[in-house]
Amino acid sequence: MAGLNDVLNSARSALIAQQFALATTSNNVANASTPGYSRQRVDFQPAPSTPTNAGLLGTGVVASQIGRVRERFLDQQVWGSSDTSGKASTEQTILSQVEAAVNEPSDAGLSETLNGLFNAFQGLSSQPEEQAARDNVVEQGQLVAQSFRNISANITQLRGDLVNDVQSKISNINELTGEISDLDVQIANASSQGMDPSSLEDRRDSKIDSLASLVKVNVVDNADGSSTVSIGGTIVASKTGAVTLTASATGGQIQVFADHSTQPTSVTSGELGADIECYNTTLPGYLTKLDATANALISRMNALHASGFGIDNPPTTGLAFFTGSSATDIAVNPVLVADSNKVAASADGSTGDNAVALQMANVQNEANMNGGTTTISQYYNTLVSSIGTAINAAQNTSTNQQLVLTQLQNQRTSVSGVSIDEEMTNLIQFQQAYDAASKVVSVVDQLFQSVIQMVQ
Amino acid sequence: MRITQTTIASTFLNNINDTRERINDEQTELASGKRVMKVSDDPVATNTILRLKAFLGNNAQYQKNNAQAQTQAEATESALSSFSDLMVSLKGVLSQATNGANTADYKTYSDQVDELLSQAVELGNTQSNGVYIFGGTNTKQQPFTLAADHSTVTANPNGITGTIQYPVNEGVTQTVNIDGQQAFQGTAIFELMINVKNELEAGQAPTTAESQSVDGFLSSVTAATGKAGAMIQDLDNNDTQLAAQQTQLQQLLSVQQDSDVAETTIKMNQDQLELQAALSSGASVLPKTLLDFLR
Repeated sequence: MAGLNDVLNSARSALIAQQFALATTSNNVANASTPGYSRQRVDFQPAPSTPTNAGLLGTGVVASQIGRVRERFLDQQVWGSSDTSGKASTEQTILSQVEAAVNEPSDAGLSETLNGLFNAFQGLSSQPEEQAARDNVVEQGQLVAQSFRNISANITQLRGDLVNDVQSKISNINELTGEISDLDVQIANASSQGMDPSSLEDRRDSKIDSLASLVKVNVVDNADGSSTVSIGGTIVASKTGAVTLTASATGGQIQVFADHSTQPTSVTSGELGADIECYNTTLPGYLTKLDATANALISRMNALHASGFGIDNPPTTGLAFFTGSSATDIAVNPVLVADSNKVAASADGSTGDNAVALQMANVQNEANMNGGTTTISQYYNTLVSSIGTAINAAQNTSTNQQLVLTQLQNQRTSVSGVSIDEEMTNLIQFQQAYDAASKVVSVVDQLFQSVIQMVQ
Repeated sequence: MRITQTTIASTFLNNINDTRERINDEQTELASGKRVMKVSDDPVATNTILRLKAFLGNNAQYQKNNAQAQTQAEATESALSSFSDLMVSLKGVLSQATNGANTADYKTYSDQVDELLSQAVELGNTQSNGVYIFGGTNTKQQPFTLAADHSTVTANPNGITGTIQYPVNEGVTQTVNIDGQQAFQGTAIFELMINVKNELEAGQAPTTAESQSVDGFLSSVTAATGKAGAMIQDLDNNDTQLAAQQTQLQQLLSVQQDSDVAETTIKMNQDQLELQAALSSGASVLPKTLLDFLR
């Protein structure tokens, strides 16, 4: 037998449930532009029915659960793509700095100064007696040496800066894993007490978002809503605590170690991976090639120069043109800088002979690198284009991965994002439901009055 | 797909960003006039550009060398042609001395020959750009020294021979000197003149053999002059060739490096149009929500 009280009760449950829904809608609208926020939804359930003569009678509605709308699969995909995108864009930034150090094609690049040196020797061959031609050779030699040293110093400097960058990224990672681990503890606690951990989960997931672009992470979800995050096979954050990472640069290699482990953790991707790869492999590769270029130039020019004679009296012979052996220490022999008459152009000591100057000018066309297949200039030019190609590759990967990532993020917001239109539509629905429930209450009120008047 | 305000906003921003980036690239290209500013703009073209620039640099140096060689060759030719004029005068004096029975004039002839000797040695010591052109490779040492009493002419003991070659084109070297040995057979011409002078002074008529020697020397100097002329001809041709090569190299470089202004301008106009369209559509779409229609 259904009484008026039952009607009143079910109307009351509707009022409460719609209030929940309105509060949730209001919260969604408030967080419409909060990064990492997932829209929340109230699940309504019919309240348990009571048996009557006519059958089971409904007793209203219950707001059973407030939960976030989130697709875990999309999260995993976003995290899986973030590291590739982060690596490519960081790599692009670093290589662009190498490109700036090399500064080609320009009128001041090493390629142009090398031409200048060979041309100066050509010029010397046409005026071996001329002081100006000799000074020009020394000056162009110094420009070449300077260019080599500058490029080498800039790349070395960049490499040094990468160590600092790695350290700051490592501390950023440690901060993030610490926060993730704290949030996981809170999530596990909330779950065990039957509370809704949605907002905690949102905060944790946006921390993982940040972490995922720095380094490749693997995230495993636990039944209690907490997650276990690992980097390169090492668990770095879970509800049992965070593991701090340290980076050490020894022997020209940066390695990352987890807490007390002596075994390095492999970091190959993400922004951190790009830094480490450039420091360990890419930049040393460029430096080696630059040194090889400088070394080939030094040894060939020196051998020729030592065989020739200056125009001083008596003619000096056996001098090296360059000192040093690599791009870091190449310099024009100070003896020649002090007296350019000692520059050897002549093969026999006579002032007008230019055989050695001609030979030195011809080094430009000598294939004496790569086992006698490549000239010095070609070798260097190939190095320059390889830098450009590497930048282009990083640029393309970065653009492509960014597209993939944007697509995935759009899909994620498509599921989890707040749509104002939708919230407004819901608002109208909930408002009308609330109005209707209020109407029921007022009708029941009138009925009660009728009943009371009936008795009077 | 469910589209939220955030999706619209981020898509809008991404697109605007892409378009602005393109406009920036195009603007840089137009402002600099260059398509390849950095290696990464076109790594393959950069390689070609660097190679072409090296060729152009070499070409400029070859042109300088060529001009220098031309100066030297012209100085050589002019000195040698003066020398052959001098030989003609010598021949005249000799024939006068041989034919004219007037032995009283021998002193005058002797003086004339002596004068010619001084001039000849002077020509042998011709300098151009501060170097002795007939000194072989010993360009800073005077090749011929006439003794104060005009009794001997000595050649530079360090030698007056040696070929000087300038690189004047890719793999081409051009000989730019005729050494004293080739031009004057060492000091033979001067010695002959001294002999003739001494004989005349002593009242002896020059011998037929001596006249024949002068003829021989005249033809060898004329041949050397012709050689210098041929050198000048070669260098002139080379100069024309170098200029043509330079033009060609510059065209090739321009193709690789320079911006196609018309194409880039059109692209930029398109991108600007796109940007305007994106901005105006964004401005009308972004602020719209259901709220605008709820009363």
